[in-house]
Amino acid sequence: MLLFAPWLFAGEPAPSASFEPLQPAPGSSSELVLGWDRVGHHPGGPESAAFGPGWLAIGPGGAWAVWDVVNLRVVGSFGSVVAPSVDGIAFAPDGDLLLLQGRTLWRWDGDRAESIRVPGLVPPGSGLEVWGGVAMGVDVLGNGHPIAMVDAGALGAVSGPSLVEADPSVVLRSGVVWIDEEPVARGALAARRIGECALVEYGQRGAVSGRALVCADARWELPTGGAYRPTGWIAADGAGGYAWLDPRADGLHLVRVSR
Amino acid sequence: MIGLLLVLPAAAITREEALDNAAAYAMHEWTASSANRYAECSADYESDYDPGTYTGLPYDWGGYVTLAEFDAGLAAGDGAGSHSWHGILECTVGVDCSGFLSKVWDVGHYSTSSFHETTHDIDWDDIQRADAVNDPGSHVVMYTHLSEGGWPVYYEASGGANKVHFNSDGGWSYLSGYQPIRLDGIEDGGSSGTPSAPIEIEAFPYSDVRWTAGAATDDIDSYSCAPDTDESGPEVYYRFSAPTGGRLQVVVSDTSEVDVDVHVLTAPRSDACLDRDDVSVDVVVPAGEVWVVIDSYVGSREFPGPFVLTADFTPEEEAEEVDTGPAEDTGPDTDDEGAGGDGRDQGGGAPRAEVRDAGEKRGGCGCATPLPGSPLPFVLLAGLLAAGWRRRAHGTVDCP
Repeated sequence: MLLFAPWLFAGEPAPSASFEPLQPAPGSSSELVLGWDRVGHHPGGPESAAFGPGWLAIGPGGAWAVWDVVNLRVVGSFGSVVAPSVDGIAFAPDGDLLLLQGRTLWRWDGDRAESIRVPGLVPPGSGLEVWGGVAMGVDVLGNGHPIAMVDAGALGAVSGPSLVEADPSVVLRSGVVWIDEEPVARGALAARRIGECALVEYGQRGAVSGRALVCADARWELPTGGAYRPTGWIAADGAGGYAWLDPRADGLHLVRVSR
Repeated sequence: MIGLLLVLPAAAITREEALDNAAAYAMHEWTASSANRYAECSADYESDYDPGTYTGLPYDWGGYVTLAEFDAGLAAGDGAGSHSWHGILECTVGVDCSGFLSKVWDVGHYSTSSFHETTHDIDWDDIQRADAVNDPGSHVVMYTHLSEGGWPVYYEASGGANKVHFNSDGGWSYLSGYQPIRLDGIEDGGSSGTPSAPIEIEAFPYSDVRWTAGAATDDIDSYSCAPDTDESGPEVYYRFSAPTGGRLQVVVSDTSEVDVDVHVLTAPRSDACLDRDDVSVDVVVPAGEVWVVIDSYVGSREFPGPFVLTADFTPEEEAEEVDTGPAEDTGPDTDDEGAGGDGRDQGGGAPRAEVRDAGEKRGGCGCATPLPGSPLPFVLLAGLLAAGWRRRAHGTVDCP
């Protein structure tokens, strides 16, 4: 351990927010979800990244969930669940909450929880998405490792391919092309798949000037600058709906769009 | 000669060695016990980590430890991780962002504000694997590569993520205002994963993230199980000792601009191939030494690059008992074991309901109620929840 460091006295980041207000993008709707007194959040301080919330998930019928990493719980339209460790959250097609926690996948229907052991061929630390009724552990390269069937009202064992590769064309359609084996931005700096759309960054390395959710038929500007907004703050419901978290002075807003 | 030896600098670390070190921190599996929830030196401290098994060292403000020191600290009852608001504590264990980078680069202990003493600035266009991206006084990450779409990927000890992890989410936005830096004297190459120094698989399930692009070996160009397939790109070697024969399953994940293939061998030779595939192998292997080789396919060009390897092994006796076909799990495992399950694979215990009031569906907090099927007594569960709420002075929760 370091015995002395000047940054020790940098102090705790203030729990107040200092974000630029963002007007909802056309075609989107915003609802105040939780004030800063209701969900834990420290904007970027001496640990750099904002601490909390950890993940956003949206599902059918307006369902939403946020992992409050400061208070160690998942809060959302279903209520809240104590969850000390979360690698990913998602919704099953019927609206049940799915929660990936280490090598266990939980399904929570509002009354009871069931769990299934994550297969050994799913890398630890994978994110969680639902692709075609199958809960996938999404690895750092964006490919899916099947965990369980989730479309039949309960968790079911999976069979079949042990890897489902992500469709790169989604990203390529967003404006980033490959030339001489290197990604070259054509009007964009970089892009990453989010459902059937892509999260696109503009500007240059070291100085990003903007972000947008870009779909084949629509585009919405996203918050950027200031404190860190990880990709975990944007989510797709698998049915054309998207949402992102927008931290404002009065709390954390959930902004929804439907294609 | 002796004098000369004394003034020689320590051997420079290579990029691949640094990446191996970083991966070891991110993939380190550890188990928190109830003793790691608190810390003797601070009455106000309580760890974020409930008893359970986790992957990736916890974030620890001011932390600068080796993996062995971390394991020893846990065993001695040190608190698991901390944040800046705890202050630097001698009785917690883990790494912070600069402590993590200092360790994986194998230099002394530098902070984000003092890394300039052992690094030099580079241009964004020159950044390579195992370089770092630094924001003095704030944060530092180790850059690994660009994923599809030009999205940056990096290792970091993150207070936000609360652990060392492989971050493929943050994008360039996360690094705005940062400066790319390079460790003075860092050398190219030097990868482990060669026939003479294979990466040892010591336990299953196994997972690793690596790059054939940086592999030090390019010996095998084709394999006996697919002699017409051109695998003349660089390869990475893994090895384990199978105590008995059994079923070995291996999956390799890559990207559209990378094509690496998996091969299972009984020896590190091209004529010892048991099976191979572009994505996955499911093969019965004999007792003894088993090799897994990830090799870069060559078509119109070489296709080396990053990959994620996962593997699982079922000894032959267990494989005969469990006739589940290709599915890896054993079916739904309802929560009859209560919080914590089998203890081995739980990432911190079962989720526990907070809200039971069906009429309060938005952001409310209700009264804790045990999950049906859980043997946890209500009083114990309510006590756990109450303890969880009380310890968060910086996050107000308006529950009764």
